[in-house]
Amino acid sequence: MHPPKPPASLIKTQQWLSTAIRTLDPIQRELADAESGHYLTRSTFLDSQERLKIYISDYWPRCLDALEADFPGLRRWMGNENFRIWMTSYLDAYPSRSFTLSHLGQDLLPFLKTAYTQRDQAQVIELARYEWATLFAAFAPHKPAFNSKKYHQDPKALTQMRFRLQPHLSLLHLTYDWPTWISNDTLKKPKKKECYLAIFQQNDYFESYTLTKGGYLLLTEIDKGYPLHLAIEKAFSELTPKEAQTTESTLQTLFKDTVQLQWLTKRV
Amino acid sequence: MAIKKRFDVPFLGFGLGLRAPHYEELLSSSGQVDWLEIISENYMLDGGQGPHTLAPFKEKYTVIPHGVSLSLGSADALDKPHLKRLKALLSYLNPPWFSDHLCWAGVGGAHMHNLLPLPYTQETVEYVAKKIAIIQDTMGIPFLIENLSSYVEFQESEMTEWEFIKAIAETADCGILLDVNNIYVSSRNHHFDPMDYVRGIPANRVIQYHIAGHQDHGTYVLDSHDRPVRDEVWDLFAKTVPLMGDVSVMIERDDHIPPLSELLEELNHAKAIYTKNIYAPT
Ligand SMILES: [Fe+2]
Repeated sequence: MHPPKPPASLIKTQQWLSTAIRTLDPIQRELADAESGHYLTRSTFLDSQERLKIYISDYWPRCLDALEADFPGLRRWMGNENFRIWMTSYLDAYPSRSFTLSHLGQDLLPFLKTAYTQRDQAQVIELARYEWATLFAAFAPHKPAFNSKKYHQDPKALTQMRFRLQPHLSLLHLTYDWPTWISNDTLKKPKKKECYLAIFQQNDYFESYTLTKGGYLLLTEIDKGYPLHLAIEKAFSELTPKEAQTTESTLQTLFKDTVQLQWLTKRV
Repeated sequence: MAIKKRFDVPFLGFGLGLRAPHYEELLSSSGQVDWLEIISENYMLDGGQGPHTLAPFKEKYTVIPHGVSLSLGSADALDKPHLKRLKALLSYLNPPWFSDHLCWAGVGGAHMHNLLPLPYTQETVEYVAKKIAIIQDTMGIPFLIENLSSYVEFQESEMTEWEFIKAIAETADCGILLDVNNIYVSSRNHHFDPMDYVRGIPANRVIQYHIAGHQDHGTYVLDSHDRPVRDEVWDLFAKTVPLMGDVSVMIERDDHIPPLSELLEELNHAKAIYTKNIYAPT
């Protein structure tokens, strides 16, 4: 069956109402209010503009509450009111494009990078990246994992292979200890501490794994599509001799865990 | 009144929405809740909490998927990946029917995360009915459209809401999920007699009821699903029951979710009204 063509008047009405509910632009707002009587009837108690307001006052709190629930750390860092102001600008710039509120924060990072030019931009971006990674891990797909058993006899073939990391896995380089700060309300500020994390899906929720700098670089190069031997070469070229030593001593454990935690998928 | 239904589906009895605070009790209790309704979208993400998490409930109850984002009436085309995910959920649950709202939820690719009403025109009837037929064809089981609570009506409407629902259900040949609270809420917001609405609905297509609580703001009534069902809605339910024949009943509570025992009391009240009125003279 062919998809039906929408009536022209339906397109016009829906475009008008969706703008009328969402717009924050004062000129558009005035226009939408002025046009409300053309599109909407009045009731005994409310005129068309007042009826429109019922939908406006549903839309914003619904979206802002969802973002508050998803980014509790960012809300605490920015302060309640400031958080809602910034998230309102965010939703204005990036209206939801998904059927689920769970995806509402998916464009927050690009927004903060361009629009949030405050003194604490670096911290805000890092914190948002961490919180988004924990959300994303829980609902992103899990692909069939690479099975290393076949390659036990042929390690050379293994080093030639190219992989992709699971879609739900995020590699993070943090300069503050956000996880501890988020889980402890009494801490005023996060401790400055460099750490490398893999955030991934486990038992339908997110899990966090601490990496060495070398492990972080190596997984980053693997995900870019370099064959294993080249990824190792590239990662080690960025390490100091001391870092290289640490990485080397943990490399086997990292590989074992990577396979066991099913992070690697075959690159097609 | 015995009414021959358009679809050969079972009468499920009296059900509740599956909500996290009640998981354990629902799995351990027996016989108090006949069936469960889920919000389909909660189990349609790519990973994490997929359909498999419903396994223990599926073993014990008939689980009916109820959607909030098919956006049937949107001028945008149906979202194919969304239909694919829904189909996967239906294949897993194997329910006798599934449902969503007769509404639109966004246009131009943007989502409003709300259930927005449609202009009641013949053109819209034909457009939406074709989309429903595609959905029903794809899923292969009866699809029910649910009536909304609404706070605006469009100048361009050419018919009443109940005429609109009837026309769409008959053109698309689908079923109806009749939300009694939504009829009450809209009747207050748009000043019509709720019994005119009920009488205008084709009884042979009504397969399921929703009953819920609302907030009365004086100048308008808000469908809130956050409190017990009010007497006005119980009264309307009592008058609706004898007109529709056997229809599975479900109580909706989405906010301020009380202990299960409280919802069971409401469910028993629904059962008492239903039993008392199902064969009442009409
Ligand atoms: Fe409902």
